[in-house]
Amino acid sequence: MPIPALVTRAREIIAERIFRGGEQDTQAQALRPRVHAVAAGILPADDSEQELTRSAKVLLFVDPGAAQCELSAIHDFVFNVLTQVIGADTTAGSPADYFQLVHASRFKVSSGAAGVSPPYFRAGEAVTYFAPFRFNLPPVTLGTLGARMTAGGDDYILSCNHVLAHNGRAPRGTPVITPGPMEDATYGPVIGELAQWVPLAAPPWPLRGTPDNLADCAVALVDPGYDAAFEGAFNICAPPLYDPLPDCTPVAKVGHATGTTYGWASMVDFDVYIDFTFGPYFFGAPTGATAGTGMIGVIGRRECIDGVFVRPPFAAPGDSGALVWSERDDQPGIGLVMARSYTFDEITNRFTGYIALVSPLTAIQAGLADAMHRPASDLAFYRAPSPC
Amino acid sequence: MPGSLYVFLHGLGVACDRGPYIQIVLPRVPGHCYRAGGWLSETLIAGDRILALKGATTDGKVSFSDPSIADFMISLPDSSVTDRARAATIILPRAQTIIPALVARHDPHVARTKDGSREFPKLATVQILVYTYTDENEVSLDGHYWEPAAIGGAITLHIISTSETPEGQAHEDMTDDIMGEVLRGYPGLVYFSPRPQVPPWLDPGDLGPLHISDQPGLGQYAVSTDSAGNEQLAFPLAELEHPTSRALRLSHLAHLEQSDRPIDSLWQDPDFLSERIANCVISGTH
Repeated sequence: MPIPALVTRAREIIAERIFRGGEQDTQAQALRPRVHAVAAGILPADDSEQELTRSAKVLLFVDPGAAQCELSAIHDFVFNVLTQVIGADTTAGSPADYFQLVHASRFKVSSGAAGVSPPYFRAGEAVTYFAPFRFNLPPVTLGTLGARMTAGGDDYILSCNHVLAHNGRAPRGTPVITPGPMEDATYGPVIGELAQWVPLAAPPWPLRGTPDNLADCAVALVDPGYDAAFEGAFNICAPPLYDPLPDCTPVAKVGHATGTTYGWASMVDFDVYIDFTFGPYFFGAPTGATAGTGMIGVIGRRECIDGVFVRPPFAAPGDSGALVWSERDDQPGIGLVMARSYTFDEITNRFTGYIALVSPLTAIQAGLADAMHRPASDLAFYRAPSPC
Repeated sequence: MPGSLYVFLHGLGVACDRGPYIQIVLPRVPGHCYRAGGWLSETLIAGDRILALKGATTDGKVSFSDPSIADFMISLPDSSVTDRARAATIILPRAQTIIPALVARHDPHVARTKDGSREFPKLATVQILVYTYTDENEVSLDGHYWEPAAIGGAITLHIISTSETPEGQAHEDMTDDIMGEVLRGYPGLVYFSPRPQVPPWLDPGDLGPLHISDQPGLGQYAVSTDSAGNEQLAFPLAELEHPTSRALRLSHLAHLEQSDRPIDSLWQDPDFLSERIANCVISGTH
């Protein structure tokens, strides 16, 4: 989406100071316990044209329990940064017009936890690894088979790193099965083997917002006998993947937990820690010329159910790995669902909705190409037709 | 990525050397819970399991029979372990070092054998075995599902073998009887009354090769120092807390949330003073 340059610049400064700043920056360090993500975009109150076409802002995601004095300190900090960025530009307006505090929980991954059964599924095959004798892997977990990838004449299944590989804790060659022990006592057939993943680099301690991980993805080499999920699959790489995401983009996905859902990709460039079961990892937004191509935030599209407008969750546990695509033009791929957060009203603290975090396909393509020692153009992505 | 692994032993156990390994027997005592895993995410150990720590370096030489460590535990060299009354058996490599923490001290003794032949003036209520590892993806506790999560290269594994609620004399008497089943030649133990105080986890005193580092705005951590003089995280001090008082602390969390008070200060709020050292500590034998 077209993000004003000053919003991009302010977001970079704020993220740098809060997540990567040194102890001498006491003002920013004091905010770190309460600010858990920074992004650029909009969080539309409704699906009206007016809301969806608002100008993008710097979004600071703060703990819902932050005290008023803490919120005031955050507000003052951001206001000062924006004042400096605006400088002498008298046409820019007030700094208050360029940022928004979002009361939201920390982002958690949306792979299925042991004991959590998806309420239903209409599409999107479940997928997981088969490694019952690796005692450092959860015995029961669940994700979604996101897309098909071809590279060098080989067929692969694409999903999240934290679904298929656990950052290498499932070794290369680990069988990949569907649907898995959460739904099938016999585990289900082997459809491939883990082939590659984009390694996640762990942050040093104390946490300082480094290193920047850009994508959460892994691929499994498809067993030659398995092709049921991809009948009729079509290429989502042509035209070229959106880079960066234009406007407030209407998107859809098919996930194992929540089936087909629709949303608005209205936020980009998240700087955020994600807590996986194997540790916390920092995902950093690209800066400079590549601004706008970072992690994407999606909110569900409002629906009228029994006369009441609600905004259902775009994704839920079990949807990790689900492919998100744009509903515009030739429906190019956007990314893979990987995590979600909850938003709260800043006054009543009442729960107001969900934000799903999507790992961008551009970064996935680049990361896998690097890991597989291939040019990015060698990797093509396909998705199955929507079941609806 | 290489790093350090800290294995915390909380509660009742019997340690003995088995060549290059340490065998820890967890006695089956009614009312005890047996858990293993990451801090605050330990899960129940299935009955009668043998769990083996894998992925930790095996060139360590320290065990509980080292005199410097044996001074901080119930040392019963004339007893031997049987295969009876076991809840679980843990096999660990010999460690790089063992840190006896939260040590109760009293002269003439914190505990003694019933016949008075042995006195134990110092007892550690938590024992920390320190290892290194080269690949965190290979660290596992075989026989028990546990996902190691490294922070700054430091992984902690907690093994719990004690009650999560305060216990009285009847329970301690039963524990002593069961120890008589676990150990052949068990002499029985008597604890000094009133029980000597254990240092609080907030102010644990000597932590061997580790020291306490204050991280502004975050809390206190036990850290080590590498060859370049940089601090390396070991664990937050709150991980030292005894499982019984930790369970009470987490019940505060419910009260805080129910009464709309901030939960930030969960590890800084006052504690009520009704806990004492129990007889659930590590004993060493053959």
